[in-house]
Amino acid sequence: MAQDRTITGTVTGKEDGKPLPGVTVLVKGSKIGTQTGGDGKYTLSVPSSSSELIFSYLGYLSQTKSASGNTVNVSLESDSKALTEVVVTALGVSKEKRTLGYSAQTIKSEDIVNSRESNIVNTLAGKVAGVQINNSGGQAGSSSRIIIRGTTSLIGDNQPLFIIDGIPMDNSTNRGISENDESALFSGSGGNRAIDIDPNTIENVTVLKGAAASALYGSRGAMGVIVITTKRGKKDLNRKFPKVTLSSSLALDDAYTKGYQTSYLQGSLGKYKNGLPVGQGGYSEVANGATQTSASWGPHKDSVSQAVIDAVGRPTVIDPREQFYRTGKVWNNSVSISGGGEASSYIITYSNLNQQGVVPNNSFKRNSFSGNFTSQLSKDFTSSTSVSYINSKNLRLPEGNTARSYLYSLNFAPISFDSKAAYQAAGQNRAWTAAGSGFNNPYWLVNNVEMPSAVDRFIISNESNLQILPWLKLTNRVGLDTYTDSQQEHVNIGTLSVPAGRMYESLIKQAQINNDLILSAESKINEDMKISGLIGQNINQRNFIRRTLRGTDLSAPGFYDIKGVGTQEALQLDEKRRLIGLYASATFEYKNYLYLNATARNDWSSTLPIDGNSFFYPSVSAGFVFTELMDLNNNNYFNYGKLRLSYAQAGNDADPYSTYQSYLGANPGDGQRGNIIFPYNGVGAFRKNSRLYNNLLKPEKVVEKEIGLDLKFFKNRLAIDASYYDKVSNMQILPQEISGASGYVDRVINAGKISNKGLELTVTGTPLRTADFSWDVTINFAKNKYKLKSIADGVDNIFLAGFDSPQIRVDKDFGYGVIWGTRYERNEQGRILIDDDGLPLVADDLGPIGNVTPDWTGGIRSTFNYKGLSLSGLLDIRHGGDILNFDLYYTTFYGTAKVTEQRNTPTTWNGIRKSDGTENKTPVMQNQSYFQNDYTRAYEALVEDGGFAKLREVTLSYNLPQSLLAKTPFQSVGFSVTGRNLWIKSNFSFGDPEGSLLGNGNAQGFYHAVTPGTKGVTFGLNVKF
Amino acid sequence: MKRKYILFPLTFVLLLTTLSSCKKYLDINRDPNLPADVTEKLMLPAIIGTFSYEVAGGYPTRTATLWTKHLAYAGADRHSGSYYLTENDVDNFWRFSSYNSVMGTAVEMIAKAEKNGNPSYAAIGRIILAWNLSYLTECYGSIPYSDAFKAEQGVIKPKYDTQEDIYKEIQKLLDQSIVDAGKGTGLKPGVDDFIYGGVMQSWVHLANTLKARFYLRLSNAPGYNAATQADLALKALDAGAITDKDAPTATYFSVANAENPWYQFAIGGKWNFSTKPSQYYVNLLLGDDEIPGTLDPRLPFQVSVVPKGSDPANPGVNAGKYVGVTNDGPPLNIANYSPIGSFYSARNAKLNLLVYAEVPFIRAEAEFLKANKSVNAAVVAAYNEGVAASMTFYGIDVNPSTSSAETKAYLAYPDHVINLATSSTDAYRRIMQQKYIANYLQFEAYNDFRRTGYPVLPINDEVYAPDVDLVNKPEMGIIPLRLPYPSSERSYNKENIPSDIPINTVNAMQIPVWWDKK
Repeated sequence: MAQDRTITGTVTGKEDGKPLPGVTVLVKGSKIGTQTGGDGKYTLSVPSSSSELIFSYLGYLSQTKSASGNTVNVSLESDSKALTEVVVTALGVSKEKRTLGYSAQTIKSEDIVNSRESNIVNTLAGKVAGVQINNSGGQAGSSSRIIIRGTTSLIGDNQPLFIIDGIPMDNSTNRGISENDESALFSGSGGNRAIDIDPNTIENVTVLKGAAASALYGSRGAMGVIVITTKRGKKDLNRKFPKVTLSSSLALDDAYTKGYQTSYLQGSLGKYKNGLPVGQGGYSEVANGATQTSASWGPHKDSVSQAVIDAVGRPTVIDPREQFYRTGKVWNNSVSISGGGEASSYIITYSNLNQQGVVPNNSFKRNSFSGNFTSQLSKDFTSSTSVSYINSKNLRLPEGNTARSYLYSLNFAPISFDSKAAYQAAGQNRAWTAAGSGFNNPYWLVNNVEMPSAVDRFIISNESNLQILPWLKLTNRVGLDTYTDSQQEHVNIGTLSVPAGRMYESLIKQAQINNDLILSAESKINEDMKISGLIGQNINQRNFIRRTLRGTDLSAPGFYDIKGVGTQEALQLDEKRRLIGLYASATFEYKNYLYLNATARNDWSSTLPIDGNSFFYPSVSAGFVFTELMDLNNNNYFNYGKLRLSYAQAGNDADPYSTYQSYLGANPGDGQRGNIIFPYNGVGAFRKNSRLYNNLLKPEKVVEKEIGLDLKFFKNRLAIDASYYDKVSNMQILPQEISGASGYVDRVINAGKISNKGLELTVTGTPLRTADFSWDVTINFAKNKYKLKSIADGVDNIFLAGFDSPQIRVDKDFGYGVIWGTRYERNEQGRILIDDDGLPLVADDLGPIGNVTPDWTGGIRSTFNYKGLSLSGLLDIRHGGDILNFDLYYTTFYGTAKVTEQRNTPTTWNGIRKSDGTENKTPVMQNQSYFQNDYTRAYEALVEDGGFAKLREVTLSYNLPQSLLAKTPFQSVGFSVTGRNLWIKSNFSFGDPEGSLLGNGNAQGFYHAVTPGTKGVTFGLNVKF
Repeated sequence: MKRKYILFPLTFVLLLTTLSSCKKYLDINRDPNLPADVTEKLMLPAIIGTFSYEVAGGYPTRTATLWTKHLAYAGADRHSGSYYLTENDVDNFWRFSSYNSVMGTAVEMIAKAEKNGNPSYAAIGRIILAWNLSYLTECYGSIPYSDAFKAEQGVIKPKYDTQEDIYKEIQKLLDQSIVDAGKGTGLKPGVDDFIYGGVMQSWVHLANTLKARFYLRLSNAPGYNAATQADLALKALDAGAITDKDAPTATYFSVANAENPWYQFAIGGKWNFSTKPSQYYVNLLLGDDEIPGTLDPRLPFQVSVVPKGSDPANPGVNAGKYVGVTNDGPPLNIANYSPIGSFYSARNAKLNLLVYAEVPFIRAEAEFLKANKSVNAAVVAAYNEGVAASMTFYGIDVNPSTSSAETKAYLAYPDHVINLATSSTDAYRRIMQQKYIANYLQFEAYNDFRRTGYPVLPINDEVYAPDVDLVNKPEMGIIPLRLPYPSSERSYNKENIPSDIPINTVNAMQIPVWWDKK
């Protein structure tokens, strides 16, 4: 018998040089083995005859080393495309990716943190094929919209369900006042509540795109699911002190201010006016003319007349936009301590985000405490509890079509009037227009009109597992997500549009309770066959309460207390919905290459008619690893191939209170600004509802078929993941607008059929890899073809948002997200018809003038690693899709738009003269009257290409080499610099077409008085010890 | 026994018990914020409040006053004062204000009142329904009524009734309301009746007055005879019309969100200050400095002088003067022009749904038409009563022995006088001219203008001063004769819109309504 000998060594990760605990070290050809400890070290007695050791570790490429000498150190290379990649699927079930019959894509912690976005939704931009993100604007605390595989529902919320640590999380965008009381068109909209989640705490995010993937989530997963898993503590018995991770960053942001002319001064018809009142330095080049005007139709800055210079000197020219926006700053600090003993582990994180927006006074602050505690309470019983408390404060300024919006002033500011000086000198609301008319001073506005909000949120969840038998497990997962959102509006006395001032004080309370009880079993029938399955029950309740006190006519400037107002009004909203679900799932695995999964779920929803509130939907999926059958596992060129097939149904319920008729409180208004509030003189009043409800509603139904391929080549150096889906949403629940003469404005019906077909492609590759250097590339591409097959019998279109014209609508003939408004008259060839004066004619009727839905979206990420240095860039591309730039309507009228720089030059419209059918040759002079009266006569002129290519992020990071840190208490030290949106290619007038006045709702593409997007640089530091 | 044999059934029992209690647990879908049913007492204030604010003091009236030149909109952009409007602009008035809020609620309240045996509520409901119908047909011509309000029965594209049929329905509704108002049984309206506080006799007076108004409306209608219509109008008035004591008004208060609609629209600064008395109208009432008797004593009540110090930029340019605006961007700050008189536009000013002076003017015109457009003693008496009523309305003393010199001169000025010697044309013009001034800010002035052609109004192309160009030229060469059909009807009921009304709003607005055949 040969003598045993002892080999020791350390196993480290190749990428970061850190020790790897728990690596299996096995003597080849034997059952002798051990595992590395917390410090990555191992000691193993091996028979002297042994020649090789095998090192294997989940997520790393196994390595075989010669067992020569007494020390064998190994650095394992992580297998980023590991065959054993584990993903979290529906209901928190972890599965090997190779077993899935549907597509699921995971984003790692670094990729989330490195995007340096405060809003978790934005961190996903450009990273997942088929996921489209749109940021609503550049104010700190703005909302972002996320949709997966196109628009599934005509008017419902199309955004996916968010699941955090197994429980549903609210991602609403709340307003302190209802849309009826004040449209978002006149105030803009605040943040989506996923903004409360601190990206630092996230371990990974898995996107379940299709119905097959999300089927077990039931009706709430019909739009896809974002599964967020937070970080956990790791067992590390050898440490004396907890592991401490510090992360700190500072971002500097600037606003995009493109799109304005910088040559022409305030005035009219080429004559200068200086914007000051008469008697206070006011001057007009026209004798006895008004000295103030909203127009920037004065002289060119270089051709100011001598008369003006003699009278008031040469006018000073500024860029009002550049002057106004400040450098935004985001401080983000996070500290976590973590660790674990024999039976339990923990992590506690505190983070603080302090963002000063690019708009003066705009800020977003977030403090979050979170912790997870996982314990093995007995041999068979484990329990894991997560608790988060988040406090988010947002000071937002109104946006949109109102004189209270600073943008509805700044965007029209002439280059020759210094609003900042005017505000600072007088401390008053003095703009370049006459007192009491025109515009508010934007500096005055940001100091006197604000919409603060403060959220206190708890997300608490517990998962307990009882291993009843080795093959049978009972899991209960209970979660509570609750917050209060205290929102306010302060409009000071002296604001044009609300001269006497007003306020509201609103308290929103949202609570979601969710419980899943799951019994799961797993059984190996024989060597080749394995079955597993689960049955479960779900209860979900969501409760929304809003109490708003609104006051009009303040008693004193800046005094915002409901007792100090002229008129008080109390508004109340209560909404409760409940859902019960029963579900089952079964998986069959055969020989490592065939995987079959079937699910079934039945839901009972409170929002459907009580006698028809039950709905059932099944799914089946299959994964077939054909390379296994072909024995290609070790093939150098093509080593992995899987075919995925799935079919799934999902249902969706209605909005609450759509099944019974009710009366509305009377609130006469003039459609513009005036109204009468009841109770009036002590008398209450109710009127007929404007919506006809329906007690025969049925659930919406989504059917999705998906086929996919996973291919890996060149020993995983190149991987392709492709999916094709065909999703049909049927029996949509929607309010159908009907002739008002029927007595109602709209009625709730089941109707509409939408088809989304699309292709998603993810290609990951490592073109170059040497010992020290590697280059990785990931390409995402998605193309979704949307087709509105029908709306409803007699329904031609559905209004989504906007004005009557222009508006964003769903149209039977033109699809979803149609921009509808006045358009040019065209002949049969589509040529614009021109009148005898050379001006385009406007068609009598409204029509489609654009569509906001992009043709395709894509992202390219490229990462270079050289030793500890890493350079990574993410290019986000959205091709096609229009945007309605309603700001152009005003900026061309007032003469601040870039396009008005062409003023007083002739242009000839490309079109056909209507009178004689000949090519138009009549030039028109592009003068003030042209821009004010003719240029935007058709809203078609306001439609611009919303496509872009954006360098979302460029990150340069450097980790200090392990050799330097060896003698310090630090485990790792890293620095990073990230550039956000440093480069944008877009034809959009204002540079960055991401922006939506209506926030993250369905009506995207309505750009009007929206805070422009920002670009910036973030400096970050990460330390672990 | 092994654990698993207990646990399996236990789990299933747990799952199944949730099912049985499911139904009750899920039966929570009734909106706690909105009542499922309301009484007539809660509906009536909604009907009257909305009709007053959104219709009588709302969009149709605001637009009409620009076209009849009581007011003008001093804006540089295209607007309804320059005859520019879109099918969207007229949409709220059609579907939200009229068909849904006012008439839709009224139809439900009438049904409820009949079922519950509350004829007083049915009566008031029918009067407001008829009145709102008249606004609609006067703006649009043919409108749905007999097929309307039937969405519950699946009628979502109601057919249109001709204007002639609408007026017949209006008369029927008013007749029925007069019968019901006299019953005196059932629930009695009180503070919920914002107009008359439950005095049903006054509702009868109003119904009779409206009947007279609508009979006279058809004086030139095809197939109708002016004298016959005049006689019907007189009979309706004789049955008991409103007096100066029970003219219908809506009350407003000096607190936010309870203010007079003209205040909220034109004075309060919520929107802008551009809606002001027109230059034409101010000059009409100012008369000619050189000619005594041309200055109208009602001027200070209808129009305010430019306040002092209102515009620090131009202190005193027009202060203390009556200066009207045109439908174009003004050369001076808007504060330098006269606002609507506070009699109409104070925060707590009453909104006149109909002025008493209309009654004698209807009588004057009816007597005149009945006499084949000739002047007789009844015409003279009614005309004089009308002018006097219009003056008294503001508290102007018209007693010949005590009235001011200015009033005396005005009343004696030849063009303000009708006597037996007055020519037919002059008499008609003078009746309608005085009615037009009495009906300041009333939608009715627009109906009278279209029906009779009086007063003879120029189109809105005035300029501020002789040397200022008109930037905002009128979209058409005549004063608009109707509103275009609204966008919601074009979108959701286009099959039923009368084919002779084109989509193009400018073309549509030049087509007269059925009775407009002067």
